[in-house]
Amino acid sequence: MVFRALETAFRGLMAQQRAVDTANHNIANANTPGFARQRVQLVPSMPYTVPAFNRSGLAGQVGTGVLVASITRVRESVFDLQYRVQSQALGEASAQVDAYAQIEAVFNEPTEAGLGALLDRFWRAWQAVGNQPEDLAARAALVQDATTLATNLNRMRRQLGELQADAATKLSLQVSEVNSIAQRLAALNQQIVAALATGQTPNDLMDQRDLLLDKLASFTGVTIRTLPNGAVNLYLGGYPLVDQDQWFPLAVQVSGGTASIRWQGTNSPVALERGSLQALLDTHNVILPGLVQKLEAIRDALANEVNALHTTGYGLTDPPGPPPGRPFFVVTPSGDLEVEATIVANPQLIAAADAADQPGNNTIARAIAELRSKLVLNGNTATINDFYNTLVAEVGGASQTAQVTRDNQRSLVQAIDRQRQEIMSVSLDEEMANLIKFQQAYSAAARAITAVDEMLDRIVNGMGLVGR
Amino acid sequence: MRVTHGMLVDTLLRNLAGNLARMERVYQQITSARRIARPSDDPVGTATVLRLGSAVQEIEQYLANVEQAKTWLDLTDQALTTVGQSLQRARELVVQAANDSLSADDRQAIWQELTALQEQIATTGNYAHAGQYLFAGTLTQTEPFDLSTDPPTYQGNSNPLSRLIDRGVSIEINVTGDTAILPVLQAIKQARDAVAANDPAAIRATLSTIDAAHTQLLAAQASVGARVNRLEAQRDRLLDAHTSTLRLLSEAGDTDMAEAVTRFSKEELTYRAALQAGARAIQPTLLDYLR
Repeated sequence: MVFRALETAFRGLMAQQRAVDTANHNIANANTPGFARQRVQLVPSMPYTVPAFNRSGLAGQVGTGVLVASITRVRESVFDLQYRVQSQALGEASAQVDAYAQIEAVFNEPTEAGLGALLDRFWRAWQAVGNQPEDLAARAALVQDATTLATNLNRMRRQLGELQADAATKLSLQVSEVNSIAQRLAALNQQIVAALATGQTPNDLMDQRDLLLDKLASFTGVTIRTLPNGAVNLYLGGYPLVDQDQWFPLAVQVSGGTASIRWQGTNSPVALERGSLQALLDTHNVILPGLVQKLEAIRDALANEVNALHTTGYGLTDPPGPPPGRPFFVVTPSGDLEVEATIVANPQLIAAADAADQPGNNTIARAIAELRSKLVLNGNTATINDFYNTLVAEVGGASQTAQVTRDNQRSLVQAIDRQRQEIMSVSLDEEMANLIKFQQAYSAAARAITAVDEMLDRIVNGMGLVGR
Repeated sequence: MRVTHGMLVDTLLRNLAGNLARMERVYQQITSARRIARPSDDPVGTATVLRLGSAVQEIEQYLANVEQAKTWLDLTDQALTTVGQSLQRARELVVQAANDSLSADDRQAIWQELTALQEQIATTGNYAHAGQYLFAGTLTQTEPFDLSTDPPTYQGNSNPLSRLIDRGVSIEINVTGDTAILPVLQAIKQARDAVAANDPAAIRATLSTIDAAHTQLLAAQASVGARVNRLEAQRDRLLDAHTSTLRLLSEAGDTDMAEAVTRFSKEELTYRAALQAGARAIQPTLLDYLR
């Protein structure tokens, strides 16, 4: 019976040591992302029933000490699911906010250098020419203002095109990150299944897997299915991204200005859920082309309306007869707006007059200046300035909506994460207290061994010496 | 509720970042004096600022046009007044010449003065402003009256010069020489010929021509005066619109300084408090108190 006491004390020693180890592990990982604190589940070991033919003369069952039943993660998977659902929307809104921040920078409004102010300067310059059609300085100033306007319109178009290329690059980077996550998840699945098969609980591997799933959620929503063997399978639009220890890579394809995400194996398109990938696709395929189209509508309206009048007019040096039909703006094959080259070289050719040899005639210049208030865009319901102002307001509105969504979504994700952290994060105070608790229990178990040792000493060395 | 150190640090960092972001926003509003830095700060406000800014530009251009038109008309009025005075003097001379008691020599002297007056009027008709002849119609680079002929011939045309003074509103700023000045020159020439012929009856007959020319001149002057009045009314209207648009623009786009500075102080206070509280909250652990 004394030997059993030794075994009981030894079990206590081992269990407390395991508990101290776990507290140590928790402290070491206090700042590890995705780490859930671990707890040693202590259970009393199977009690000993004193054998007897009838009822034992001795009292009940005798305790045999403590066992470590398992080491478990303290984690609520329900919050993980909520966290991932909200992360998807956060990822999408964040990507939109980034895109719109860059778009707003391209528009550079409201400033003195924005296209709106340049349009105003352009119309004013025509009026200045109208006030002094003979004056070469006014004409040269008009050429300057028109060139500045055209250059900036071209710059905006080009920069929006560059943003589109940026979006494609970002898309590639994110897709390769998704691939990398899928690859790591497949590897983790393999390790976890192997560990579980041998009856171990791979807490830290499962934390890593949950962290990867958290990360993946901001890119796109995936359907997660946990298998009985402990592996998780991920599905995108019904097709597996990760199937146990297999994974299927995605690829970005850009053709004809449209980007799409496809399965590398079958080259069929991926049905994405919300997330930053979808936001980037929208930016690349819908938002930016739409803006470019509107800028081109402004460009075409400017060129067509101004030219329609300008071609009927006469420059200072044009001879009598039919009008020379000189355009003011030309749209190059690459889509740039430019002031007609001969006018840049010789501003006298600006057709301010509707008749030849009348230097004071400003009929055309006035008519062009009045285009400012002509409804030429949006089905002849908006002036060029109105159309542009609306465009800026639309960009601002969409950007603001994305920001508000992102901020709300971030609060939501943070609130859920806070709930998760309440449960799973490591409290140093708690671990220190546990450490002391287990350390004391360890010392006590060691003391119990000493006591048993003394008892044995008494039996072995101190007994049977009567009368010696 | 279970709160850990990691959560405290997260909360502190998140709130500090939020504080700083709000401070930066207000700081930008104060230093730039503009309420809106990007369209997303206030999309509707941005559209308003753009629209009003554009309206201010438009009004300022119309004001410039009005000023230019008014300068032109003022100069025209002065020139016509000079012509009118000369014509007045010419009429006096013609009346004097029509007096039967005058000798041929006296009429010769009058003829000479009339010739000088005629030349003076033609020279006035060739007045230019900033390199543009006032009375030549749209042929602003052509001298309207050719002084080498007698009477001077008109070389301009009768086309109007128009200026935009409001959306869709133009005003003619010129008086062409053929309507206002040429009849005067022709009348004086006729009188000079009669004076040269030393024929009092014929001289008397030219008075009606002179009076007709004078009436035409006065009509031109009256029309100039009416147009100047119209321009002045338009200028007042534009100035009113300018003032009110600028005020609206300022309301839509400028920072309300008192409010912004108050907000900044509040954010600053919150930031300092958060730093202080954070510094004290995240430091101690049980470790500090264990032996």
